[in-house]
Amino acid sequence: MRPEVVISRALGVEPGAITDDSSSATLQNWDSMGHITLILELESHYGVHFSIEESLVMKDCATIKQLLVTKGVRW
Amino acid sequence: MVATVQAGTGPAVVRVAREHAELLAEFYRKTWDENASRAGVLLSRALQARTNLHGRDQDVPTFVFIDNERIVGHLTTIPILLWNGREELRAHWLKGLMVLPEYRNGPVGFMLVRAALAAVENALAAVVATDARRLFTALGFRDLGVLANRIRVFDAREVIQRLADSPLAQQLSPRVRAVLRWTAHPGCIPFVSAALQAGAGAYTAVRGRTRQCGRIMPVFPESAELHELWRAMRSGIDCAPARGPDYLVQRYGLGQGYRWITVHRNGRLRGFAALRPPTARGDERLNGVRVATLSDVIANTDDSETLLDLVHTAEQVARGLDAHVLMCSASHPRLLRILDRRAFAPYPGNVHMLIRPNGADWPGIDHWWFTRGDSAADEAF
Repeated sequence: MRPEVVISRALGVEPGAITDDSSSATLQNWDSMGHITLILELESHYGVHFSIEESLVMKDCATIKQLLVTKGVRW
Repeated sequence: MVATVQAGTGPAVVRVAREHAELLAEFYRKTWDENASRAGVLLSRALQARTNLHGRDQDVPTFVFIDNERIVGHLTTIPILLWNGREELRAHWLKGLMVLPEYRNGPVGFMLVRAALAAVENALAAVVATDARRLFTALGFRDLGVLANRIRVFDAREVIQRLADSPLAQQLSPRVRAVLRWTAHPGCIPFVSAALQAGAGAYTAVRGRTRQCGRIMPVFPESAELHELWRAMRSGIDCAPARGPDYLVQRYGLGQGYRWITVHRNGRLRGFAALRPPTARGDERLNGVRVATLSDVIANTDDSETLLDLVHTAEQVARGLDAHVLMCSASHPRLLRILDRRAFAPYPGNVHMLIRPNGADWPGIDHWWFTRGDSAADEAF
């Protein structure tokens, strides 16, 4: 499943609303709680683990996709 | 998962100790107080420890998120005792959740609250913002409900004219804005003001008559009589942050600017109230409306006469302080009824009271005795 779909589910928005530029600044549901939900969903779906440092920089979809690639995730 | 709570070189949540004073001062300068200093932080924390209701000189739990050797998020607690109808339990208000703007909408707030919950027993929070409510409820808090607001207007002319030009008016519906503009018109306001004044006077004369035996006190009441008062009061309520003498002295005692109101009968203290004067420049959000706050009311809930006397005296004190308005927020139906009898008008509430109980099941907000002074929520005015 593409990260955009996982992100849209975690944040409760339409998949079409998620682009590489989507971020905590553009999505209302991406608040502190939304961020945690998002990380848990990504970890559960792709079987990866994010460190605190990584969670601090995961502020937009493009960065999340880059991080997933560095962890060997393909979609 | 991301939320490991540990001290180390990387980003982490840590419980504040003496060595964090300089970092805390730097954080406070960025957020709340541009004059914050290391010495001030140490003094403030020492005072909080000295009056800690869970044990004298015990540090008050405060948590910070440190990244790159600076504090980017903060959450502190207020130790209290919580009356559950049978006994007083240890509890903490969670207070002062603040994250630097560049770190918002990330994991910082979540990790801070989680760290605090791991360290405290029963936890309460008074929360306004929707995202903070979402965060707290996701971490096991139950939303008890909204604290009801009541206001008694003393100077309708000033209030209407200032509100009509305030930033708040822009948030009102077009219809309400139109009514406000109409009533604020110079040809209209004297009549509206006089009518409201006369209406409130007539209403309180009929429904809210008092014996006028409340007094403003130059000194804080004795601990023993406050203790007796709280014991009498708590037997009539299901739940409340405990209002014993140690709490009252720490919360409203000398040096904090409150006015103390008492009602005595037959030589015994029957009621106590704490009133917070309006700030010198009034409330900026309300275009300078001077809001006094009835922060707390302590009396036997069956004793309507005493409650009426306390509220009436608070009105007189607030007028003497040139307040345009006296505000009181409360959850208990008995106090709300007393406020209604004194012509306090409902004003939309936005402070949600949340509890993360430790096993017990707590009832809804109308079983609680909460007021604006709880969790220091009266600081908002």
